[in-house]
Amino acid sequence: MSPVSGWLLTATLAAAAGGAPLFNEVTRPAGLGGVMLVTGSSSKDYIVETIGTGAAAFDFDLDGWQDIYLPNGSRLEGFPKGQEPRPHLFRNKGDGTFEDVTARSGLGEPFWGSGVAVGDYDNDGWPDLYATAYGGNRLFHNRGDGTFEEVAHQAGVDDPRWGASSTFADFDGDGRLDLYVATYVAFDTATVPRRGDLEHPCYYRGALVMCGPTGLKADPDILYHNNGDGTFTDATIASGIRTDLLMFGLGVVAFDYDEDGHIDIYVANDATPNQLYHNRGDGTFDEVAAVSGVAYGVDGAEEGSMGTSAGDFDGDGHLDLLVTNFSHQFYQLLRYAGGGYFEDVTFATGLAEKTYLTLGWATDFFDYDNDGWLDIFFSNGHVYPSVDDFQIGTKYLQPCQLFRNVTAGSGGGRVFQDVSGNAGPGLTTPRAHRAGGVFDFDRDGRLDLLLTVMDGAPLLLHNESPSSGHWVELRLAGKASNRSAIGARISLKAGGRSLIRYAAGGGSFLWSSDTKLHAGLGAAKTIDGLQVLWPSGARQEFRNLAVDREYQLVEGEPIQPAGKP
Amino acid sequence: MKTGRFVGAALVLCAAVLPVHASPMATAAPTPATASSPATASNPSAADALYDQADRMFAAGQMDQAVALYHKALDADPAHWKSLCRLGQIQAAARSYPEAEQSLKAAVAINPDNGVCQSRLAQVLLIGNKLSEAEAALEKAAQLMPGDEGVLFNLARLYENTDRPGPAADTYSRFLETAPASERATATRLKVARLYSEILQPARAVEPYRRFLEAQPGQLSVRAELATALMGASRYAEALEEYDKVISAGSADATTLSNAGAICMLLQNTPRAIELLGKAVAADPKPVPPRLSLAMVLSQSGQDARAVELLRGVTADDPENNRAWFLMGQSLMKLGRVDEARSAFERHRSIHDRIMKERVSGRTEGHP
Repeated sequence: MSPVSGWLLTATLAAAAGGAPLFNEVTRPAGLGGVMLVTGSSSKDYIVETIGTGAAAFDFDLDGWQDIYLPNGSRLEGFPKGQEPRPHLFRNKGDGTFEDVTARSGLGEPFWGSGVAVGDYDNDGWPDLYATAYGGNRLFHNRGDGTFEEVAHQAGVDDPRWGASSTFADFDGDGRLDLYVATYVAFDTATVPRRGDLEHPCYYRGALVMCGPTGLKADPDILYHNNGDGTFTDATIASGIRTDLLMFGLGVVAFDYDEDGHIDIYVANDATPNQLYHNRGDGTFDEVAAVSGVAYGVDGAEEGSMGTSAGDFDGDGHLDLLVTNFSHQFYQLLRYAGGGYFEDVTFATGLAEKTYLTLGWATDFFDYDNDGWLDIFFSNGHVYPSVDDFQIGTKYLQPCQLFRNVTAGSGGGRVFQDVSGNAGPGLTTPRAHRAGGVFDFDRDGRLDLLLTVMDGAPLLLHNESPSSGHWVELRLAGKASNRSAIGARISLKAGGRSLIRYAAGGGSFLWSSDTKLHAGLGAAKTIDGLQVLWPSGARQEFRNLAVDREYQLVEGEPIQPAGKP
Repeated sequence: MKTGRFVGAALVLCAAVLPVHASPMATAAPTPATASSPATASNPSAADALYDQADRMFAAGQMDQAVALYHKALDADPAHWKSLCRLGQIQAAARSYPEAEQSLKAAVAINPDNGVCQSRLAQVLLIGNKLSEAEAALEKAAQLMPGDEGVLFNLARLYENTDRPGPAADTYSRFLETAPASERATATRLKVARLYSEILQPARAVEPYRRFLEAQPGQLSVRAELATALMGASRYAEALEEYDKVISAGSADATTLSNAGAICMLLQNTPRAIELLGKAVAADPKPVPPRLSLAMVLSQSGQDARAVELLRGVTADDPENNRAWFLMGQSLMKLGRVDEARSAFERHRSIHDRIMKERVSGRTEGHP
């Protein structure tokens, strides 16, 4: 019996224990207000102008504070030399503000960026960046001195295809991070009609719109195997990634859904079925989405899927999936039911009606109120500026949404309560939101949000929830495992509950962060037990840990407090 | 473009039409004044005086005398467009359409900015099935006389009859703004609503449907159309309200019941969704969509065995229905019949992969 079964409308929502959430927009005071993210023309005549740009939160200088990397876009006609939009690297100064260190970092060269993956691919201790792009993907090696070197060509990952989300993960268990890149559309202005081209008109609900993805050529996703010498080999075909039926890849999350110790891959595809690659244990895969219940929407039709994330929302110890979709499609919450199968609980958890008219991109499970239950945010915004003229119940600029994980009735099941109304204007002002994710930039134990806005400034939203729940944050570093500890699984026992937190690769949309796991603990004042299952298979256990602090967890070593300096 | 003729009786004549007492009579078409006309001594003030005199005859119904005077005015001033325009009107009333066309074209050639002449010319051109020329004249007339209901109606009708529902709906709407109390208004509102529905602008159809139903509240089939438009505009609660009026009147067909059930499913009113979709399937057991929707809500309410039974029926009727196989797989999985579920999922995938291959290699489109 599913713990979330039962009927939403008859459920009594036992909400409110955590108080009203409030996210306060601090973009300008934090020093990010000068950034303008550019993605093509305002009329969005081509699909390449519609998916926006990504973001990453990672501690590039290992000072304990998560920094921010923001790739930037461009426009098809280009910019005069010297006026191109540039990517940004912001160093977290530890006082709630950021310093733009782009110029001295070596990350300032302009390119039309999409997503970002963070991972220490050479296990030198310094997190590196992979940036997907329209016009050739980039790999930025972190030299450890505050600068980066672009090494995509030398490393063999300078693929020219238009990449979207990507993730590092160790798929073959050799302790080195491999790389999965979701590619979107084989886009070429020479072959793709412009919006309004009456020779090749493209319609959405009767109105002329930009063309695609339907009918455009797709490229296969790419899986690169890490050779261990700073280079990668394209192992797409050898690893079993499908190249016979091409999908429009946008979102990707790498996680071990069936708990067999091998990290799997879930890909959210636009207008085509989603894919779940089950790892056979040697870095080769079987595509099992259809038989696992995660390929299609609730009615068996393919959806326009954008972003995806994994997390254990119902506290049953298994990782579930979130998927954001196009407007007039439900987003999906897919509960892992065991045996390799996911059950669609979107309706049963109250997310169906609330997400039907929005068009979602970034999403993640996160416990914003530290009550021990994973909540959800969705970043929203339509792809067609002209959708406002259609009056079909959806708008180009859309608010983000925040859902609180609450108890349904007396049965103990979980449902999601829409608390967007209390989230604050930073989250709910309608905009063309795109990428983003959660991180605790001020290390106060409450998870904050970083979102990108297409053709606008990014949004840094500080969590000012009045919740008094306790928390813990864990910085992980592998030794036998990959240094980034992607694929590590944490089991916590606190306050009579067991919690699972997982260091997934990728997740959300065009987003990445380094591995810092957060768990809200509610009223628990002690962590009774903490077990780490490293990607290498090694296990460590710790007992009686104090709450409301950060810990540094290095594989095979004692746990260390890692509080603010 | 459609090539069907415009029927004169269907036209709304402009305000400046031939008075009812005027006797139609044939008149010779005057020679249009052009740059190549032989030079004659032009006397505009004399022509104006003759024209005024002719118009008095015209108003008095003394058509022969009027025609003669209009010709005299043209003798005095071959560029006297008002006389040409009046002669064209009289010729049209006498069904001398070629002559009328010639006179009116001459008039608008001299003065293209007279809306009445443009409108008269358009009417004659419509009768002659010269639709492109008529459209140009009507558009010019509508520009010059934006509040002329006859011009707007004729232009809208021209758009409608030439397969341009969008401009037709917009122009009929302008007609309704100009003449909201016209005897044609109610029927035109329904026409506008249906045209907007046809071009997938359901939100714009809602208000004309509502206005029509204010006048004719008993038209339940139109109320169902309104509900469908509201559904298309994503105004689900309002749509359900309208469907409920149709259902409570006992006039709901299977489509109405199915749509209402689908809305209940969306709004997560599962018991009502099951009731309505069950009735829809009972009313017409063949269509697949209500059966799939019913199976979905049955599964959501834990009645997976019933859902499987229903879906077996769908796949028996339509073995290539991939959605039915998918839903069946989900229900079978929930029933613990894992092998059967996997088989259903595999069946779904094989069909769906074929659909996808066709779609990704097909013509470019917007989002599905």
